[in-house]
Amino acid sequence: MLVVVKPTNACNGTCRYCSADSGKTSSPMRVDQLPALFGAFAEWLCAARGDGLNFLWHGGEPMLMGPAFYWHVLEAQREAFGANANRVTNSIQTNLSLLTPEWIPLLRELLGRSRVGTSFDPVPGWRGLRDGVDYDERWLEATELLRRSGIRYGVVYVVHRESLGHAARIYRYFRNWDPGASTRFNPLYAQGRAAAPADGALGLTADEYGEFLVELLDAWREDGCRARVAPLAEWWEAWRGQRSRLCCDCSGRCSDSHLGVTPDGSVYGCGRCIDSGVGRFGNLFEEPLGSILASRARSMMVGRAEGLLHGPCQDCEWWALCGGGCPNDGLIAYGDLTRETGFCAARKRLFGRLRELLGPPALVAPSGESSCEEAAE
Amino acid sequence: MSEGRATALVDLPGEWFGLPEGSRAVLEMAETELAAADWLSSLEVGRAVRVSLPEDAPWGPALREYPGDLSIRALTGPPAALPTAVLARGECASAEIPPGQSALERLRACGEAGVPARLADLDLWPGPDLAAALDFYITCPTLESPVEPWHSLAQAVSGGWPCDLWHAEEAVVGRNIYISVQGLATLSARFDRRERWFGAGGEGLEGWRGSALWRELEGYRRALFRTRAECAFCAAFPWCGGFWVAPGLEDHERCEVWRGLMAHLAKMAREAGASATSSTNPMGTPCGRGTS
Repeated sequence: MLVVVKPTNACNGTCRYCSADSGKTSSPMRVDQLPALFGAFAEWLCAARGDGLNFLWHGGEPMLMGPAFYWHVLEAQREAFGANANRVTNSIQTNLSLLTPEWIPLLRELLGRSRVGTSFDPVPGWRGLRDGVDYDERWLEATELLRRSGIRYGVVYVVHRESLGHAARIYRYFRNWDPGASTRFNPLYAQGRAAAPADGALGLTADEYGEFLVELLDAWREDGCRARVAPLAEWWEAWRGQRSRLCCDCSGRCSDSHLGVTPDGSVYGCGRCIDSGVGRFGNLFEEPLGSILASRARSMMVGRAEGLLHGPCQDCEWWALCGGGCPNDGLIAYGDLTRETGFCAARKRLFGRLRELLGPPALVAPSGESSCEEAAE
Repeated sequence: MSEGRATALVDLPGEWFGLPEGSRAVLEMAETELAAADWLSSLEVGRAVRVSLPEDAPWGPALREYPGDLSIRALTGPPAALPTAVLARGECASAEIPPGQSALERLRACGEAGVPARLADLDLWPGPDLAAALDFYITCPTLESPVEPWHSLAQAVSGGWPCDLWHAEEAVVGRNIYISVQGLATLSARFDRRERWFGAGGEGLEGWRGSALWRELEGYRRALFRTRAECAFCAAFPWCGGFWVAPGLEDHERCEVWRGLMAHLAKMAREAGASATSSTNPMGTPCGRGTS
């Protein structure tokens, strides 16, 4: 199970397309709440034989919590999970603006073999930091530090209106900066700060996003599929019958495998559900995890795939690769978490291109699931 | 460096100059200085030393009898003379081919003799000659010895190992030093020709590090990406690294030639497919000479 934990909603970023900025502020998670947080999952981990538990530290900007907080996380996890601690992993999704050499020992300990997730935009003017700090310079310096320190990282790129027509250039920017870093391309989510920006619509139509993905696919192939690009690589491998970890928004079962936890312990379906503020399951600091997992709101989400297969996705030939997409994209498009993604047409366009290139898909069951909220493995 | 050059290049372990292990330092020395010096025999036995000599250099006994791991890079050398020059040191020899009228002829002669070759002073090669040299490397059916920088770059393009022109040309800040015959330290002969130096050779690493050129070069790659320079988006960047538009050395004409050559190499590598990635590099190290 992947648990997206947002220990703080605060962020030092000013990114134009932030979907996590609800305008509300709340107190950050306290160190003395960590035993309760991990304690809630200890029993679940014992019962879930063979399954692992990954905590993805998200935000807000999770590095605002400081390294000391995460040393406490490690200590609290050792105490809570005991002999099962080796089945617990951590990852972090950060803008890296606060990374200094002092963080490196902590990151090594916290992440083990996992990679840091971060985000960047080669299109200038989209990402920024408060107090006039240059996001780009800080990010480039920080990723150099990670590379020198032998810590792997991956990048999330948000596709927006000004990305259109530039997929090949954006691909090459990331490949040129660090061919060893993976890049995940996500469409802009029109919520939070990006829902109604003062400077006009930033988001894409499904057709526009589909066009971007096809251009990206062609650039990636032209380059010999040199760099790891998600979700293309995941779909490409699945299509060719290779074992692949499809993204959470393709499995149709993300509710079984994801949770999101806010600084005050509220539990949602995932980090994106926290951002949209819809579908709260309960609170970890007030009730047992078992009753949260059995909540009505979660049961409704777990039943989403069945509903789609008997509804809008019934005759879709791409279900095994798409799974109806992300519930939050259904929420944005139709106001309903149980609906299919609003980027349905984008996916169909890409799958059509894959069929032109590769013929009919030779799918095998996915070997796992990655998350749209962190960089690809 | 050009045909008839009267200097020799002595390539020494960079550790002797305070650089990290595995780095290299190149000293440009007047031929007479080298011939007269008995410094070679005083070098620590067992350390790798390479010497590139002008084609008409006297093959001094000190050089031939040096008991350490010495390799000779003959600066082109007339084909007939090449074996004489290199046989003294056996398999550790290679040929450096500077640009000039007979450069391609010499390249072919090296190929026929099975002698590893390197295009020296890449920035002075005319575009058509560079293209012809690449064409020879790609299409010569009997070529068994590597031709640098094509060989290292072809491996990189095929996904074998990472290598860009900075590495292939042994011009990596902090890993390579070039000390000119005037005693000025810089990154490579290319920078020396354009009169861009770190400082006097005697200043040592600490002094060089403080120079404007060193700082510029250290931040160069990051600056390309921060400013969204065209290099950051270029299809050839992984094999070039912005080599042609380095600080103070902007050469956009050659950059354009290079992009065409790399596109050609990439196309050939794609067509060659998996067989190219599995080949080994006869030079023994990713970028040909162990500096990466």
